[in-house]
Amino acid sequence: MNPRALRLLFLVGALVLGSSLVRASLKLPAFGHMQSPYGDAANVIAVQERQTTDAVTAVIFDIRGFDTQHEEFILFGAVGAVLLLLRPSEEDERELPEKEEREPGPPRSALLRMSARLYLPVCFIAGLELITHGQLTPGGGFQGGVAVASAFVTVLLLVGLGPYEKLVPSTPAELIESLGAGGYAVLGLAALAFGMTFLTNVLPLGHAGSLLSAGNSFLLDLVVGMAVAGGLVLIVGIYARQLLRVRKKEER
Amino acid sequence: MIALQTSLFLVVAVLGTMVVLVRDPLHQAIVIGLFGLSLAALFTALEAPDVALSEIVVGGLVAPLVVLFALAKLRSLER
Repeated sequence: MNPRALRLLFLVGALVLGSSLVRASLKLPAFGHMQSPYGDAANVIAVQERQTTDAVTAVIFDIRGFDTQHEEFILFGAVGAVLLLLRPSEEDERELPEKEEREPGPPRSALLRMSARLYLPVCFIAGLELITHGQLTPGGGFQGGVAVASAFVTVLLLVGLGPYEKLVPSTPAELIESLGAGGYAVLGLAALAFGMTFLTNVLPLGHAGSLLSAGNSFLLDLVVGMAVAGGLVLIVGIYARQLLRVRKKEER
Repeated sequence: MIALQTSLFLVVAVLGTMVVLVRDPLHQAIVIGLFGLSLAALFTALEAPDVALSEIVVGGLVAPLVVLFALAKLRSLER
């Protein structure tokens, strides 16, 4: 097809789609005046029945906890796929034994290393706060897990791959990630032990606003945080090791 | 409040257009990070802090990181 015909085809399609979009957005409720019975119901149920002050966490982990399990397993599968695709091939193992830890380039300055030493605990604790207070304040397992992982990724960027791998070697990271992913299923199965349906709340609900409230959501937050943090740490580690391998190959 | 939301909408629109108009992938990775941050600010102004936190971690950390790693790998493959 020549370019002119393609352009004409695009214009026709864009006109049809554009006019439908404009007509649809004109019929939406006014900005700021949402009509959402589900949202109103969730707001009431979250605080009074589920004892959660963060309605989003109540919906994610309590009312629709089953969907979050699917999301977590998607993340788990994606991390596994990346690890599978980027694992060292036999040719790499023969040419560059993993024991050669010297990285190319000059050593990092003292300022960078000191900044990393100061930043790591602060960011780690902030991430833990996001994870454990998921049912009280905005945050939750996913956001807190990525914050915890970003603390270690910053160490990687500021100091280098050697200290990063000493800090989070791949075996404990894989263990934590698998515990996170499996823990979600185990918590769901715990409800079966009590004769209720999968993922029903088994822990006492407590009072809204205290740390140990919202029953299952607290443990599910921890478990999702572990899975996300472990997964992200693994992905970034394997990317960085790939880059190191490629750069070392260039040096020869 | 309305002024804040409107101005943030405009910033998001401008940065989104810039993401498309920047052609070099390396520069685009950085602009994507900035776009994610502005989107997070917009979500905070619209009173959705959980979404804003998720947008910060994904758009500000994961997306530029993955793009930069892929670019570095491609560039070393070219040589």
